[in-house]
Amino acid sequence: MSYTYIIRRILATIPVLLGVSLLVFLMLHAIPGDPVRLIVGEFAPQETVDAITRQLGLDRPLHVQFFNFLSNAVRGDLGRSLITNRDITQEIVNRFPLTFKIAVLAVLLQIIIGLGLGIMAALNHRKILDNVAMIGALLGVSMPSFWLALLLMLVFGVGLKWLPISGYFGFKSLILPAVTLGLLTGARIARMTRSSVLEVLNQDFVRTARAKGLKERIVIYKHVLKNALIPIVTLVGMSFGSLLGGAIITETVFALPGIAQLAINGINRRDFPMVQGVVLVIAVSFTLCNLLVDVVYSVLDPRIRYE
Amino acid sequence: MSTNIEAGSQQQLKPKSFASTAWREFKKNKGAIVGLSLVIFFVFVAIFAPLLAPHDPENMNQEFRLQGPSRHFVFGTDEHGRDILSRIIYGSRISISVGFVAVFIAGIGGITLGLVAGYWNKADSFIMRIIDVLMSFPFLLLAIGIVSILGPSLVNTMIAVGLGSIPGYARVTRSAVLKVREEEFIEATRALGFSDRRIIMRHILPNITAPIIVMCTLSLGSSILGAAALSFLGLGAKPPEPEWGFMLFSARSYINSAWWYSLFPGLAIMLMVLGFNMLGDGLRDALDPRLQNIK
Repeated sequence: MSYTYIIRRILATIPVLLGVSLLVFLMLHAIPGDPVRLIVGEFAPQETVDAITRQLGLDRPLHVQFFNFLSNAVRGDLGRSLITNRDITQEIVNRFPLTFKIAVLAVLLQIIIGLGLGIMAALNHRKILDNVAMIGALLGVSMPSFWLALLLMLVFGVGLKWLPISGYFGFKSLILPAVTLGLLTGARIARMTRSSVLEVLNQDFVRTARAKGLKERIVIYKHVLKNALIPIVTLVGMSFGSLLGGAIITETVFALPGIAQLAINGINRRDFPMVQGVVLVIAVSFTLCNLLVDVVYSVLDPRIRYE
Repeated sequence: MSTNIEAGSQQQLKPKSFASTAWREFKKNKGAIVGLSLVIFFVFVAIFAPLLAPHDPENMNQEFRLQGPSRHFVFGTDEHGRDILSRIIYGSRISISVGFVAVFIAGIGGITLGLVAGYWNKADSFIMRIIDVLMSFPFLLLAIGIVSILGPSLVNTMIAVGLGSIPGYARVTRSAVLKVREEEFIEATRALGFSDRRIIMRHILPNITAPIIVMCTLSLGSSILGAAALSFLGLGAKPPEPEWGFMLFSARSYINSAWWYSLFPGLAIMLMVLGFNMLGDGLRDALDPRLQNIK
């Protein structure tokens, strides 16, 4: 484990986070035309326009605006919604647990499905089990998440009536969204796991291990899987961030009040500070997740060095 | 007699082109052929949509509202009594063009950035920092951000999905360039005093076509999925366009009564994306000989 690597990796995240916030900040300014007019509508009185301009701080120079945006964001102040006038940070904090719970459940499922199928396929290379698993995984990566969600709703909600298909009624409501995301990301992990395991199986040290008469089980567990799973850690970790993005779809399909729904409603109502806030929170979580994954990776695989 | 032998041995010695070797590999791969057939099938459907569709895709008739699959309406009808099969047939035009336009945008932007970053060290760290920032946004979120700026429409969906894929293209191109750049024949072109432009266009680009082709094919699938997702969220195609993602969005409201409405448009998306993915996988295996042993 190299502390220099970890420290440099953490330092390298700072400019990325700055860039992310700059981009999110510029979102409002990238809208063609006067953003305030776009928000309040063409026929709003001049006073409203002025008030909103002042509320958003758009009357000040751009760099001052960015500095304010940044220092407010660091202190956890993402401004107020233009529509409901509620505190955006508070709204996100209220809704984050739901999105987070679904993401955690999905990651668990994804690990079980992805690693299970991937390892099984690799160990039965070019046999029926391998083919079946890989056809399943291929269907998984080709399927739109909202369609899988609709299919699961048809079977378990409409047909069997086991699970609710819309709204939040406790844990039961989390199952179908988590299964949707877990199955689809699990399919990707299964494909990666399989090729990673196959690659290690072809390496010289595995042949050596077998040649010196080790039991096949020990070769597989101690030599192959231990090495093959290191890159998979990265993938699983990174997928946690994209699950937060994928939540946009599942929360819409299942009508769940998570953070992604805030963003979609924000876009439809032209509530730009709200969209900015949610996008910033998701992107920052994603970046920090990747940082954490890289650090864990360097602990697992000491060969990794910065650059 | 002797001429015959000579002709025969000459035929054997004739060098096989890279494309023909790749094609032979490709043909052996059943998955690749299935993928190619699916893609050809959908392109065919898209081109001949007016001939194939049994009904007018936009003809509303409340009398036939939400009817299940029957001999008359093979895939049933939607909430306006429109034939779902005909709408799916016409929708293939939208999905295919969305895929190609998005890949075109992503290709132009991402490949250029990747070539510049990979070739000039000075530009590299700057471009890669920007790419790192863009990569900090989950793909769908980036696309949503772009659509929210441009405003929701089908054309903007294509732009958003294309722009959102640029970081991935830049990364793949850059790493391919970095590998080729160190080869001796590139050093030779430098020694001969060729211009950077000529070295990039004539010597580097042709040598990285394989990863680029694979990337483009695979990202056709993911672009189609991305665009359908945006339409499903109400940020893309608007009615009455028979866009598959939007059809599923409408179907969501009738899930309790009309299973066929939720089933068939999604099946179409999956089969089209499956086609591009299998084709891409097949091309990757055929074009990259290093993968042969672990396939």
